[in-house]
Amino acid sequence: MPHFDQTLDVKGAKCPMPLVKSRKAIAELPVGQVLQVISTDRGSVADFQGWAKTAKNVELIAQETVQENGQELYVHYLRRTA
Amino acid sequence: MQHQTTCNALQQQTEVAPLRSYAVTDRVLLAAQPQPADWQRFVEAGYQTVLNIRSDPERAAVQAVAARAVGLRYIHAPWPAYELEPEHLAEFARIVEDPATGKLVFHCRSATRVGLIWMLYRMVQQGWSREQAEAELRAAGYDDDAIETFDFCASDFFERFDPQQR
Repeated sequence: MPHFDQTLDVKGAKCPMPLVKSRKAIAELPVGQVLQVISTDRGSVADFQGWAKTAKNVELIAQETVQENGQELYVHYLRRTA
Repeated sequence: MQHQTTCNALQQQTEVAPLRSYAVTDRVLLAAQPQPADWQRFVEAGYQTVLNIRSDPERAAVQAVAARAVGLRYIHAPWPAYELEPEHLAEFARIVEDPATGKLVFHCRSATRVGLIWMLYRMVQQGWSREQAEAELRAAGYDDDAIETFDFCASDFFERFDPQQR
């Protein structure tokens, strides 16, 4: 698990809410810090990859899938770069 | 918070079922990702154009071939999910109002983002109130979870571009 500075829990949220909430959370972070985003939306894996490809201030450091109480969680680590 | 799908029964079944889709007007179908058999179903239902706003260009290229093979127009417009801007709504308006478009299938992955864009199009381009726009989406079958998502993301849009409407 990469180091992170803040966590955003978007479990249950549907696309595009995880992305919109993450964009707002990243904007509140100092440059260089890392946001951990926890989602239940399988599609968030591709969504966050797409965001990192086009956004100018975000680097996708890592993604992982974890099990919690029989539920799959999709965890994303994003660094604010500008 | 864990949401549950509570209103599946309200989800409108359309002539292209079982694809998850919502006919907001008799000319516009908001849809989740179509499957290969759906392209022909769209043609049989009178649809003429498919507008895909998902980001993956390789997947879109494959789908464009399949859609065009049955006579559909296919437009790929990978608008960002994380940050809609007024230019995207203006481009959508040009497409949906173009007589050449005809009956339109407008899709993303889950049919949520296209619902949001349709709501913003009604409000920004056509002057509808938020209540009117949401009522239309509810009537088409979107459930409470989807409406909550539209509300949150519409507020985000207006915070950035029209704070008086937030």
